[in-house]
Amino acid sequence: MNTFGQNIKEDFIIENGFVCVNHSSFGFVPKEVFQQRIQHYTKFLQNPDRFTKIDYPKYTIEIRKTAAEFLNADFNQCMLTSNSAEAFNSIIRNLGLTENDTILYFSTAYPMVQNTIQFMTSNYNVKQNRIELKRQHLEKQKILSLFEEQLKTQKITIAVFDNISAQPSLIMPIKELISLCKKYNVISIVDAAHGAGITVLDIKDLDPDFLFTNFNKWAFCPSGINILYLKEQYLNKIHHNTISVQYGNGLAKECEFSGTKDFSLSLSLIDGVNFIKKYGLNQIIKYSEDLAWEGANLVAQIWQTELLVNDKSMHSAMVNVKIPHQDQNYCRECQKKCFEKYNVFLVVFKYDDLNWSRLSASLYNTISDYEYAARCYLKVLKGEE
Amino acid sequence: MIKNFGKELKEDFVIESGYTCVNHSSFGYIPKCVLKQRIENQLRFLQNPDSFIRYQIPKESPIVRKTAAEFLNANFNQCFFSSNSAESMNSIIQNLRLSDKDTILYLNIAYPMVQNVVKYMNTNHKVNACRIELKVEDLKNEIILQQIEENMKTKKITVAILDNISSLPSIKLPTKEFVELCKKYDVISIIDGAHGAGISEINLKELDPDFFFTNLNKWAFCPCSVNLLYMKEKYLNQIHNNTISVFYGAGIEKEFEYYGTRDSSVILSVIDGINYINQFGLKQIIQYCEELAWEGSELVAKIWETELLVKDKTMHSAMVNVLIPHKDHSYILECQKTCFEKYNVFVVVFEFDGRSWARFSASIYNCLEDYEYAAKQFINVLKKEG
Repeated sequence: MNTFGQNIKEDFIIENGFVCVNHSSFGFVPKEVFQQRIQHYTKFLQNPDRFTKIDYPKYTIEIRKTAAEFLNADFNQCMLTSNSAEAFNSIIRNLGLTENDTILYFSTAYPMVQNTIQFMTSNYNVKQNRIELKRQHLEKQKILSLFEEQLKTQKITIAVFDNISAQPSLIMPIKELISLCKKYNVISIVDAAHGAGITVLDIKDLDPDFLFTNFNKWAFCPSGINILYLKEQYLNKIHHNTISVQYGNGLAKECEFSGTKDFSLSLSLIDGVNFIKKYGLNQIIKYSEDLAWEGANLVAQIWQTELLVNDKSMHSAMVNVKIPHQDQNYCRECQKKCFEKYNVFLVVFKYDDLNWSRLSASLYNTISDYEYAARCYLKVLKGEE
Repeated sequence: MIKNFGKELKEDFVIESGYTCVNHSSFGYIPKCVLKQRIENQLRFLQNPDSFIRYQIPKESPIVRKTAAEFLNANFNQCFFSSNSAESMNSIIQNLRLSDKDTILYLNIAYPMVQNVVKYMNTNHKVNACRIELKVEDLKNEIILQQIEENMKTKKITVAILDNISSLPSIKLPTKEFVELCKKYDVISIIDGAHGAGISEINLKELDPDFFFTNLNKWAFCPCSVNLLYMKEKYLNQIHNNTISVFYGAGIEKEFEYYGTRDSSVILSVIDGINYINQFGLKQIIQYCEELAWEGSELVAKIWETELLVKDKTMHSAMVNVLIPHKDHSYILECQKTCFEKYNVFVVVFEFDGRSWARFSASIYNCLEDYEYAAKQFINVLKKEG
């Protein structure tokens, strides 16, 4: 696919000379999206009364409709938030959970999710049930069986699980997990922070109780734009986590205005989706997934280590490679040194007692990026820099 | 060469061409130089977000907090940035462990967001609410303070909230005396200084409230939207950012530095906004804006043949309220819309004590003609009845 790779890199806002192998944390935006963003932003700043009172109420409908169509959901059930933290806080803190409730989650859940659950335990005595996923469990059937075991034997109120986990990064079997939730009458929350733009999400087909996804990670929008989806039955129950002037006027209004902010930012959702449509979502996913796999395998070869999971079908455009060093602090120091000296940032994390790096791929990446990242990091690790 | 305040300064601002702005206060308008810097900062963030979020913001955020803290005469260790007053207020109230044994005291002129937070606490945690009803004739410092004290004396109040400068209607509130009353009756004091930085001389060390929050985008020439939350040291281990995220439990400084993916490069504009103020001098800015808001509103009242809500100039900041010569508020709202669409001027209108009022704001790019224009166009629209 020669439209992608080196040719397209100059169309992106990426610091000159920076080798990016971590698209996934925050995303990088195309120059055309940024240009449009500056136009929207200037329009907002030039007349915020007009923008917020006349234009924005119309824009939010258009933005939510675009997102809803992209995710195959009903737009009345799609709300605009700034990020996954706002979305998840809004859900969990408004379900009226008490000490009679239990939240089920995996050990690989994102720290924000785990912290919010901890907050509920500390403040409201809500119980938690954590499924430990060790390396040997990282297989679809094992994940499902561990999950069902808990649903069968414990009284679970809510289960939250990733669409694609962050650290380590793997595709989770969400369709089956949602079906299990229905079978055992458990509320399902899908953390699809990694979702829009890198997964073909079909919410009508998946039918979860809740799902939230970032548009700035993989859908080429600037930070932070997030869509929160919820089933109709929750529309009167959930409130935006920040209580503001629209409290009580319906969740859509509450999310539209939860305090003064840059109201022009969410318009970029439309621009990001248009950018995806230009190239085709399936084409983008294929290129990114194939390159992430190829790139990570090359890293493993250069480091003489291995991938965390050897099944390609469990991977999105992020793959985890073992770092050839036991000391987590040292790996982190090397991460910083490598960044400062070689202008490449590698995600490093500890999992199941070993240190791993997560490599991501997007349209502007090529295999040479992973070769460069691997060699530079190894140099630093060996003290040879 | 520093320009004079007024018309000639308008071209230095990001304001829609041909637009007459008499409502600086809702969102604020920014100088072109601040926008230019903002876009550069935003670009720096977007072109290498790993670098920006992980390495640069932890270094630069304390510097920005120090600048803002110095501007408000506070200790920077007690100052944190949020996106807006709603986030600040929610973070405070929802972490004070209030229950049905507690009572929150506030005025009927408190901002709707504040009143809704109280309502939320009442609905969800059975926290009691004590609302002081003020009418037009009560809008005097002595009466306001007397009513506050009366309630603190006769009821067990846990927390009390007061505006620095209220929104609708807009008047200056006696915050110093309020904080003293709170101390006297052992009440936690929260000052809603949404209207504060850049239009008041705020001295937090002297004022000494338990909590204070202020927008930097309304009057301190920052882009929408940045808010500063201040609290006494004793609360640093108790208050959490209302959005629980990856730094929950890592200390309030970290919780406010990152609480979910967002464009945190906006806080860098705080320094640009404060530098812009220092160019002219805060006192000079306040004086110009307060004088013009007063003069402009008196002119409006003359053209409309009505009156000001409060006739004491000392009770006003750079926002003044004028009686609208019409009784039907729905009709007035329609006229507001028509006036906006047809004559390119937005007049803030609101209901208070059974009547409809307009609120006029003044900033350093405004001049008297703006208020003459706004008054004449609005009355033209108003009179086209039926």
